[in-house]
Amino acid sequence: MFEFINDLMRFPFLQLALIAALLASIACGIVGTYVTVRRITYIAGAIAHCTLGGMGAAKYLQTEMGLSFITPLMGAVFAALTAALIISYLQARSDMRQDTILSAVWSIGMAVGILFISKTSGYNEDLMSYLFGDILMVTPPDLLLIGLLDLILMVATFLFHRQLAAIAFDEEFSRLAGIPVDLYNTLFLCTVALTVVLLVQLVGIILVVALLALPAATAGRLTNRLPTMILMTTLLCALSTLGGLSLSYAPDLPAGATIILTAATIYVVTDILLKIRHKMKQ
Amino acid sequence: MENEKKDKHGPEAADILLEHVNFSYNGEPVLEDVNLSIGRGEFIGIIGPNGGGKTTLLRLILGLLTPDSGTIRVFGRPPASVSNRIGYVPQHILFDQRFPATVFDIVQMGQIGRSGFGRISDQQRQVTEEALAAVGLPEFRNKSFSDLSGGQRQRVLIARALASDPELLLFDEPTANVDSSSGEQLYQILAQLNKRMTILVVSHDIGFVNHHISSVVCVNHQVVIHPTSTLDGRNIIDLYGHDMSLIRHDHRCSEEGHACSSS
Repeated sequence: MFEFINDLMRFPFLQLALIAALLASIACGIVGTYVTVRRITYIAGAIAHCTLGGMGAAKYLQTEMGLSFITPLMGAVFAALTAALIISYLQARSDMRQDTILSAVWSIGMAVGILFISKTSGYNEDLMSYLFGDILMVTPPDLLLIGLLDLILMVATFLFHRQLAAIAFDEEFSRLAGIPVDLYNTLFLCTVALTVVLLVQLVGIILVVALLALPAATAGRLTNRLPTMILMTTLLCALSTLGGLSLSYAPDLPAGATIILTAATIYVVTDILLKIRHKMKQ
Repeated sequence: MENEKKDKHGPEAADILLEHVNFSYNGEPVLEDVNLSIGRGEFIGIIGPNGGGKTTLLRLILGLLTPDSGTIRVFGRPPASVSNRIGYVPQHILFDQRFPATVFDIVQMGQIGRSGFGRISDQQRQVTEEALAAVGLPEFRNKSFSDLSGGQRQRVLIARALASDPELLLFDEPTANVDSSSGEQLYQILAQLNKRMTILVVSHDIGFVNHHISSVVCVNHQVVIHPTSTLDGRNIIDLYGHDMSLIRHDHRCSEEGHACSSS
């Protein structure tokens, strides 16, 4: 921990990682809360796994086909938005079961990614960083993107929080009241997709769901109001990413994993404390 | 165009008008040749056995379903175009008990169709408070929805519907009912509201409805409406020979023996 704070002063890459963690917490707080109260964290999971297809294809085009302007991030954004639109369309227009839609999108995205990555040189390190993320590799342009996403999310939440809450609580009632529910849902899933893409850069595909679900789950135990829950989730997310990052540094552990385990520990400790308090009240 | 059509078909005063409505689900007929006219200011109880089409009828009136054939008019217009003038109260047991919202938060959602964006206005706050007062829950405004009893949750959902300033209230009473004293309280609230709006209650408990309703609509694939005069409590008991709460819906609405209408 001391080594982390010491080196933080000296190494710009650590400072970037720290800022990235804080900025990502805002997106995580907003999107994590809505995804959790709507019980659709698995949609976020499916979208996250689909980004492997996009990143793999982009990396292949970039290194093997010489299309140097294509970056894995662009591939991830494309794949995530495509996945969001497919899920949104199938949910509204087909009679497929939701879990079938998600399982299919989830695994097809990964299969596409693995095919492309296997035909691209540098197979292993790429795959590892996609799957588990690497917060120490973030660059200033990444920070700019995360900051931009935060800004969009904050403005959208401020403007539409009542509509979003009403739809999350009762979709049918909102539809009857004249709200374009399908449009909101599609735009919401696109927002989830963009957030997932940025979080994938930090904690990787596999751990994104946990970062969206765990801090929001903890916050949900502590408040009964949506706006408060968003703020608390943001704080808990910041606590998890900073804690995980500093814990991982000295022993050279993968930061994505320590971030998630920190978030999980916070959830469990909160749960135990609440149970103790409940017992004492009785 | 729609307005001209309405005038030919029924009385101006009819809030709800169904003519020769058929609806089937996956090829299975649910409602057949339904004709129904519900006037302004009526308090209607919709009863019938499970699977008889009560909920389907409600969803047709809300415009959430479209009939295979026939016409449905609400306020003289196609239902989907006037759904914002209908206050819909779904069954409270369908909701996520853990949704993070206070009673106030949920009631103000009733104005979502009319409200702008961003923060709630003072005027909307006022409307929300009035709706809470109308269902007798102003002191519960900061409580969690999850901390309420079933009867209180129902009243919150009624208040949410009231906040949209409806001209017609459609209330789907939950099958797992609340205890009888809060049920009675609920119907007293509805009777109050009936002074300023038409009310339809899909009821699974005819005993309560009967004290306040003006007519009963029996739904079992076909629909029969029974006017007020034939339906005071004494008549029903006379007709059936035993206490109403013991009467089974399938008996009341069976196709061959329709006791209410034969009276």
